[in-house]
Amino acid sequence: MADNSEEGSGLIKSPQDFVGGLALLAIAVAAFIGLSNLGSMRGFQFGSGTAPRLFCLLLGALALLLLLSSFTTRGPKLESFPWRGPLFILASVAFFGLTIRILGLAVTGVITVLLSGAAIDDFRIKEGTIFAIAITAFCAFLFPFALGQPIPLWPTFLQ
Amino acid sequence: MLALTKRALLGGAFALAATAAQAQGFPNKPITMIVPFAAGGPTDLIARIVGDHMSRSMGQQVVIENVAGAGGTTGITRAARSPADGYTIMMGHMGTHGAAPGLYPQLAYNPQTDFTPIGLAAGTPIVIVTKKDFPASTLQEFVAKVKADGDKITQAHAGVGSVSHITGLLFNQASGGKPTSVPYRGTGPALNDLVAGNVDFMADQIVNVAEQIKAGTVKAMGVATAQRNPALPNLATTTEGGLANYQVTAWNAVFAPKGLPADVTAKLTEALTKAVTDPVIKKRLEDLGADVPDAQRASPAALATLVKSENERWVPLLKAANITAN
Amino acid sequence: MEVFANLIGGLWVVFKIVPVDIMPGAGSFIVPLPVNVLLCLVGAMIGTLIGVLPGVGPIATIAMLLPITYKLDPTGALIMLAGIYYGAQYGGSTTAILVNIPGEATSVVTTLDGFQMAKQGRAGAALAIAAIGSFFAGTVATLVIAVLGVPLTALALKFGPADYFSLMIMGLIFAVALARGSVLKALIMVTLGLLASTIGSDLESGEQRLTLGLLELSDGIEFAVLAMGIIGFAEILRNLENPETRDLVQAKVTGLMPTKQDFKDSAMPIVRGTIIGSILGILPGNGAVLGPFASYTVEKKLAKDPSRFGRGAIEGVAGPESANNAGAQTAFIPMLTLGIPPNAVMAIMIGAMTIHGIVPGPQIMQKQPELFWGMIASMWVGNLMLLIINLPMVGIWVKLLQVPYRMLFPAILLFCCIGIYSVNNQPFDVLMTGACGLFGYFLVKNGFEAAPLLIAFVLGKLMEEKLRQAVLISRGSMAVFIERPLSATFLVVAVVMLVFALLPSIRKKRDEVFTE
Repeated sequence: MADNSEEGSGLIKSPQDFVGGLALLAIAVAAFIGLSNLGSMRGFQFGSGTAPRLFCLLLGALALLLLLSSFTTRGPKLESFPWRGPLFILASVAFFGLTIRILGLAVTGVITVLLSGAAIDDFRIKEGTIFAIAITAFCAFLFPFALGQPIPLWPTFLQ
Repeated sequence: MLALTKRALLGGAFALAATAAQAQGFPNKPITMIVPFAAGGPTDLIARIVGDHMSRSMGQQVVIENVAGAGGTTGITRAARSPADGYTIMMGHMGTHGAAPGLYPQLAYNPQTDFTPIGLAAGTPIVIVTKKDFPASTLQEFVAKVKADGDKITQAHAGVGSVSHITGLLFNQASGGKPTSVPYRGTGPALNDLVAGNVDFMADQIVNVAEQIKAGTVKAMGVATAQRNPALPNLATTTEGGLANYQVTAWNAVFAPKGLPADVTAKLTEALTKAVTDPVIKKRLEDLGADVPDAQRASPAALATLVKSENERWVPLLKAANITAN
Repeated sequence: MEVFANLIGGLWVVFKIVPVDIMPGAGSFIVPLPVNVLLCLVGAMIGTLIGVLPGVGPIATIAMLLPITYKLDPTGALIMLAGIYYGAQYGGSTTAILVNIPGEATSVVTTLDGFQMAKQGRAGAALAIAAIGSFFAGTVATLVIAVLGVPLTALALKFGPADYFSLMIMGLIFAVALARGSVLKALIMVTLGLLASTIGSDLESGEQRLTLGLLELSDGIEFAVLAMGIIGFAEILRNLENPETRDLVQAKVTGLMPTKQDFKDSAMPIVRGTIIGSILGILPGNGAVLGPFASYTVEKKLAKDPSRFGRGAIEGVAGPESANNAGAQTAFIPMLTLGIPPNAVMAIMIGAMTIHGIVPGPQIMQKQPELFWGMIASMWVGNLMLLIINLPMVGIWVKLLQVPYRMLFPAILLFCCIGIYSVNNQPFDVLMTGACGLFGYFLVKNGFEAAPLLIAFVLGKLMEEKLRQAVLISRGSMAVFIERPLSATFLVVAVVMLVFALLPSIRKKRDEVFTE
């Protein structure tokens, strides 16, 4: 059936619901498999797998319902997935997590801010660098010094 | 901070010399004490009270770093892998250094070989408490009732691997009872249901229940130590109550990573012993119901013996109960 | 009347003027100062300033600021802590409104309409109404604690595991009502939240559930990690998509203070929110967490035009914020009268009191009356300080939004990373937040809303625990849930609300097809 609206066309009338339903169904199935070796009810004592399996089944059923409804109910089209934002943001967060205990806030902070700043097209390297140093200096003053937080400040190999 | 950076920039050979010099002037920078539990709990309290005194006597700040997770083993694993220079120490615990090998088959450290014992800090003895209208007033009566009623008796605990859980299992082994175990997420909710009378009994650290006992909202059956506790002098011991083999204290002790230089160990032990034998600190801890060791029990050798005997006590018990956390 | 005498006594403790040597060492210079009230003011001020940092939630704020109080005498320390506590709470709401980053479960609700108001240039009105509502709620809740604290304790102990379970079921229905879009999708988010809440060691057997073999997950996912990732980071990713919407926030800032109409619209929601929050706060099992959700649901149901909710309705800020503060305050009842902490923040407060040699317990009121009443009076004073500090600061916060987004978001990101790291000093938590952010972005892109997921996550942990306990204690009988009057009432309310939630959505669905 041809469909010429702004919404989904062809067989799948609500692409967002279709993708979402499919993804969550996959999560439910994967989780259910992951739970297979857990115990179930023993007498009236709950097993470790009882509640999560119940939630899994519910999630799977509801996700399936959504998936099926995407063939019958019209809904908005899929949005485009830009790569630049997520890539740089995730890279900067991952960088922070992986290096904070090795490089310390002074180094990790500056690079984290720079990496995340690069997530937008109009990133200005000079302004960005000055800002990164300033905000890191502020955090370094606030957390380890003023608040006495046990966050490493300098790289471990410099100590 | 500037001096540190400068020194490090001068290169490896010099840095090596600096490390050697460090042991001489130990401590010359703040010491991090890893506490493997969240802020506010009994271990954290003891670490802060003792750490504060150690800061003053060594002239360097002892910074408390709470690294919570997986029954304390996350924090201890990290501490065990830190450099053995005395600047990273940890507040170990009955769970992390006693019971953990029985709870976590994939434990990343060996409590007996991966650490340099510094000394025992303070422990909080275990008390058996029941709801206030439980039909027993002495430990003998209570044990008889628990044995007679089997799984009709409910036992609360604060979640798998918690102090109340494992000391509760030990109680069941000693008393021969087989109550229904009711898990809670933390001591607070468990104690709440005990006060409300929804569950029958639990084993817990004295610091958590002393005020409730004094107010009569729960009933204490006995304290699991050889001597009576100064915070609750009217409470009979388990020995008096005919259960002499149930003696257990949730001890806390300071450890460093293995291979700590002997002179650094000696300095840390000295500072720790000074802290726990200081009359003010001792009184503060005892007011909380804690068991504070004398200089002899606080020694590294005594701690090494304690860890060994605790492993021998908990590991078979937990294996038999078929409890594993991973 | 005795209560009021006690309260006045408490106020006297807070406002007491003490001679202080303000230049120790450099010759003595003794000045009479109302030390305790100043401590309260300073506490509220730094509590707000740290709490407002994105990524640093109230629990982290209080844990960070705790050591400052160690050097004070017990009464002063507790009064300052009360200031820090309220400051941290309000700071968290400010972040939720300004940048859509909730620091704790209760501010998830504030993000829904508060952030929408900020986007429409009405951040000032949202912040001011939150402050005013909180103050009103705080004042009422103080009186509730003073007058009814002791009798209410007895009531709170009547709540058994079965009653909590049914209360949580009712809470889940609130969670569905939070969604503005499809009910089916909201239900899916609720079940996903429930499933996520089971991750970690099993409470009884210790078996690892869905941890993918990661020891870091054996205690489950930290709420702050999930919330900051799924709402906060996803919001940043969404904002980066195109420069036009990115700058919308700073485009038009209209009026710093609420208009007459705003006050009119907010008055009743504040009163209702206060009542709801006060009642739920006294439950020792962290019932306070339900307050804002319940208030939001009630306001949405009572509104003439429920579709305004989620699009910047001031009632959606006023009610839940009042409920939040009222609950935050009455949550002191189980702690002060039973000595049992109902949530993580209260556990830290008990730890702080213990360090000062005060172990809260059922007898604290008789044994240390001036401390007890001083603390209660300081709660009210803390709320007053908050109002005094924050109304003038509204302008500053709104100015912050005028910082270009290209500078704002990297700063937010760094604060979040540091904040999350410092909760447990775990780098893994930071990585996990990044992963949650990506997942949250996927959800948002496909029309799923995060709020029901987060609420179900919080309730799920409690639900499974309480269900297990109820069944164990009743020895396998499911009948307890309908035999106990409290439990039965909650279940009936839940069913009625579910019907109400489903009915209009069936009609709405038809409308949506034509409008979108």
